[in-house]
Amino acid sequence: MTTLAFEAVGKRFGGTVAVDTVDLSVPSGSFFTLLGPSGCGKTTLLRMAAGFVLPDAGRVRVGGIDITRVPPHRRGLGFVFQSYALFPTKTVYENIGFALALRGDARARIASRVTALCRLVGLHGLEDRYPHELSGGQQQRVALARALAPEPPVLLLDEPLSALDAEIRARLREEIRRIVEELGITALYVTHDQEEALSISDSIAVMRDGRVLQAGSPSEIYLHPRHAFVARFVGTANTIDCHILGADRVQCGDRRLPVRPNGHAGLAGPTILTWRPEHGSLRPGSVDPAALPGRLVGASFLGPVVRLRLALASGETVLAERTARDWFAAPLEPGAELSLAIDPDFATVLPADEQSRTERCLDFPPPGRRSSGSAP
Amino acid sequence: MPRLPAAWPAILGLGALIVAFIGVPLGAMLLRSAVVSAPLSAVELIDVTAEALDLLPAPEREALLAQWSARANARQRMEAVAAALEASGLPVPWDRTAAYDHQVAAAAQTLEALPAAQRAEVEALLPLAVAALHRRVPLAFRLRDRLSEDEFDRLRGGVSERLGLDHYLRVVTEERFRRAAANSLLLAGVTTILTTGLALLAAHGVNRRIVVAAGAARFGLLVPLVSPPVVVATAAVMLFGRNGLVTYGLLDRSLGWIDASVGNLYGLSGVVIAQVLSFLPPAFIIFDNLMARQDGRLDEAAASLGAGPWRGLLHVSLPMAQPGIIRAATLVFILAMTDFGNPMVIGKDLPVLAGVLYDEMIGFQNTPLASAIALWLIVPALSVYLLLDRIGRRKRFETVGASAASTIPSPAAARIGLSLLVWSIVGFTAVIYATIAAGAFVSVWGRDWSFTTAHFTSAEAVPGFVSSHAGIAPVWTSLAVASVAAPLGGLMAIAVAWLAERFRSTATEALSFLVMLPAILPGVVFGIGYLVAFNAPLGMAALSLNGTHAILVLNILFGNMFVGVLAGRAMLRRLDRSLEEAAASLGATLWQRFRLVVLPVVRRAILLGTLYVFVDGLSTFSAVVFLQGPDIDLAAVAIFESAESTYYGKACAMSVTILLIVFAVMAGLRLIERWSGEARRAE
Ligand SMILES: Nc1ncnc2c1ncn2[C@@H]1O[C@H](COP(=O)(O)OP(=O)(O)OP(=O)(O)O)[C@@H](O)[C@H]1O
Ligand SMILES: [Mg+2]
Repeated sequence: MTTLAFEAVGKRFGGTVAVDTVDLSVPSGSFFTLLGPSGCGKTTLLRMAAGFVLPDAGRVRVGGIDITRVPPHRRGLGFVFQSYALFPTKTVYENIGFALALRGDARARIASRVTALCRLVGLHGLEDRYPHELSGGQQQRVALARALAPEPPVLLLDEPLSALDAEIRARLREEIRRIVEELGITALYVTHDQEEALSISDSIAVMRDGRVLQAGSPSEIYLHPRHAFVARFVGTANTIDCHILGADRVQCGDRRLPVRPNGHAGLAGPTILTWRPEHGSLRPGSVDPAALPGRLVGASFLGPVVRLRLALASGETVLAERTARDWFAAPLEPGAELSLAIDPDFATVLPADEQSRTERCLDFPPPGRRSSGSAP
Repeated sequence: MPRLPAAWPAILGLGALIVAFIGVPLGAMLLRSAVVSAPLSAVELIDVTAEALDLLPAPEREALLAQWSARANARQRMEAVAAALEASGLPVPWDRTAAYDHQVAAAAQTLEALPAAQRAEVEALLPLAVAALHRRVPLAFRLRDRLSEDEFDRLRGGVSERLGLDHYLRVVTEERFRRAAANSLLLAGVTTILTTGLALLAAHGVNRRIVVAAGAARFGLLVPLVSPPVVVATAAVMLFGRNGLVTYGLLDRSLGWIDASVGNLYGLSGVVIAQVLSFLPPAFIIFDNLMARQDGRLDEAAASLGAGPWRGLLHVSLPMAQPGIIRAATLVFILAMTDFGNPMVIGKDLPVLAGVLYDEMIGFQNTPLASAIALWLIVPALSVYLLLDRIGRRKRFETVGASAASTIPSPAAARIGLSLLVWSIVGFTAVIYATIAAGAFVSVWGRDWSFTTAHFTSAEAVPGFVSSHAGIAPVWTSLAVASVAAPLGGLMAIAVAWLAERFRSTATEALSFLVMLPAILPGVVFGIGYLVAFNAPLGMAALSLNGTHAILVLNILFGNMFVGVLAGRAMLRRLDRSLEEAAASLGATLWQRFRLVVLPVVRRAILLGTLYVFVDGLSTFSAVVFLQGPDIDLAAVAIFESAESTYYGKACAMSVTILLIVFAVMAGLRLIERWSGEARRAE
């Protein structure tokens, strides 16, 4: 019933384009995440939905109704801030009951609703505390309860967990997911943590430089990225240059590899082949014509798997994985000749972007989340 | 905490100074306000005199008594008989208010009628009674070396001093004081409400960027912070008084709309306007500091929960501003209560308690009563402050870091309304300063508009106006006093800040509390304290500082040191203690550590502290008005006196000069700062 839709929405601040023509539809009742690097415009987009920022172009609709020019206090959307933004002069009870008192609910009604919300978010017994007497996690629970109190059809959350430490973050994000699901409201959630996005979302939109590059389910985004940046930003990805030979075949160096037909046949300009480390399998020797030849240059132990670094004959470096058990049964020496076969279902051909070129000039491992992020 | 023994001499030395020049004056004033003197009764007089006479050798004593009683005339004898009767516990049966001839006869008859034994007793007392009633003064001087100061005073004056609240009670019981107090409360109440409200709205508008050109507006609101006394009142009278440019020149003479001798600004409303404009900057700065750090996300949170701009202000911003409201209202209330400049220049027929205080001090030198009034002026505001402060304690919160302002566009009505409000305040301020600047160069405001520089140069620029000083000479006196006080104050403030931060103990905390006292107490109180304490320090009139330049320097220095101490402590708290400990471990002495490690870090605090003492030294009024002796004229006092005697040209000339000096010094400091900053970056 309550979809949230952006139609060709744009916003610039002076010279910076914060959001550049975004079209996005958040289906009713779904948990939708905006994911992207710092400064890509996630917050700005969210704040335009809340009405804190007026878009320069386009429209925002809630349940089909154009709210672009409606002031924030008449939109009735919930907002949860990264910095909690609790009213410091009000108790937990007064914070949560704020919207209800404002619209003139009866005292008894407010009391029962606040009590129910406190129980829902796990704040029971803390009603009379002031915000500065609470831990960070508790404060964010209050902020969540406060936003939920007037029963908003849409909840907007801007990196609500990023000020908390890892353990609480993991626990609270599951709770947020559960609560939103229980109440059946539409949630738009901003994060730059790809693991968080993959684990709690129904859908993810990956943004860069004010644009949405790809929107889809977590598995679609992870397994079938449609943009080199998406592949790199979400999880760990290998990218190498390739030439298109046909709908299901590319040439990399002197090898021809089978790939997933992806409508890429018509692509002009330089292209790359991308896949996840766990979708390659290693064999000794380098004669297999449908596999990439390379030399082992390093291995790092990640627990369940060992991640191997391979220098390809083309000079490119890629990553592959082996289970820890296999590796320790037959460890390889650096310099060993290997060939890497890629599972064609997960080998995707994409147009090369700026970064996929520059990165090859950098020493391995490349900077950013790729090397540290772990695939689910 | 490293509690190095080496620091104790420094703490003790500074501590002694602070106690002597802040603690002692305030204590002395408190004490003096509770000293009540009452005439001694006849019996007590006789006792006191007998005690003094006992100090003399018996033959000398007898000779003196005989001589005095022989020389006493009939009336003196009659009075002695009355006193001796009282001292013997007998009634005085004749009418003491009757004509002396009758009384003398009645006294003789009474004595005759007494039984022989009683009569002998009374007659034996007579010589002593004569001495007690009529010869105490020569006796006191004869015995001067053998009497303590108190005994001497008591014997000579025939009065005794005791502690009591009589002076405080007078303010409540006497009609004259009660009326003035009612005026003061009304005035202070109205001024406080208006000033606090306007300052709050202005700070809200400026900090939420609702006001157009918010940065410029803030600057315009803060400029009058540096202001000689009664500038606003003077300009207001020049514009809207009986001979005011607007009221008389424009509305009366040119347009004929009003009669300026009736329709003018004198009276309560004029004083309120002058006070609001004078006290707006300090109130604004309190809110500005508070709101600059306020998180714009809170406004957004309120909006997302359904609160429009108005209800957001009411339910979120206002409670957040509560500590500021309490502080600003207390400050303005105290300023308005203790302000006698504005009411005396523009109030004319409106007696206020502060004006009564001024009269009691200047006219009657009744220091005890003036001290009591001064305390009455601040007690209500301070007690309300302490009470409210206690209530809000649990809600206390820290706003951390600088947070972004809300980006919610504000409604057009709010933008227009607040912009109009703020910019008309700024505009009015600009008109006031322009008037003052113009007044400095006009022969006689309102009558003779010819250009002149005579107000700056001659003693008597205009026939009819008499001035005790030549041109703007008082400005140079003030400049000298401020220039001596400023660097001393800046350096001492840092020393105190450093000791307080590094050697934290009950002693240093007590010292910093003392240093902060002048920040809370109005100048009048601090000034009277100095007058009382240093009239005869340690009971020795030879040490008296009253009427010297030294007392002015000391008062200005210690009265404004707190700014440097606050700034210094804030900066030192950020200085890594280990730096100093490293220096200590390398063998640096206390002084070397202070000079090499601490001083470079706190340069800005020293500068700020020095500047504050300097600026206040130039413009402070209420603290020094009672302190400057007959031979010294300070600019602030001279401005007030000129304005009060309607010699506006001179007041304007001195105000303009002070403003120019202050702005020149500030601009100079800016340049030096920028220049040294660049030099450091270039290294
Ligand atoms: N009020 C503003 N004024 C000027 N520029 C702004 C403003 N708000 C955002 N920007 C700019 O717009 C761009 C997008 O900012 P935005 O806050 O939407 O990024 P983000 O994706 O939320 O980043 P992060 O993950 O760091 O929060 C940035 O370049 C930022 O500098
Ligand atoms: Mg953001």
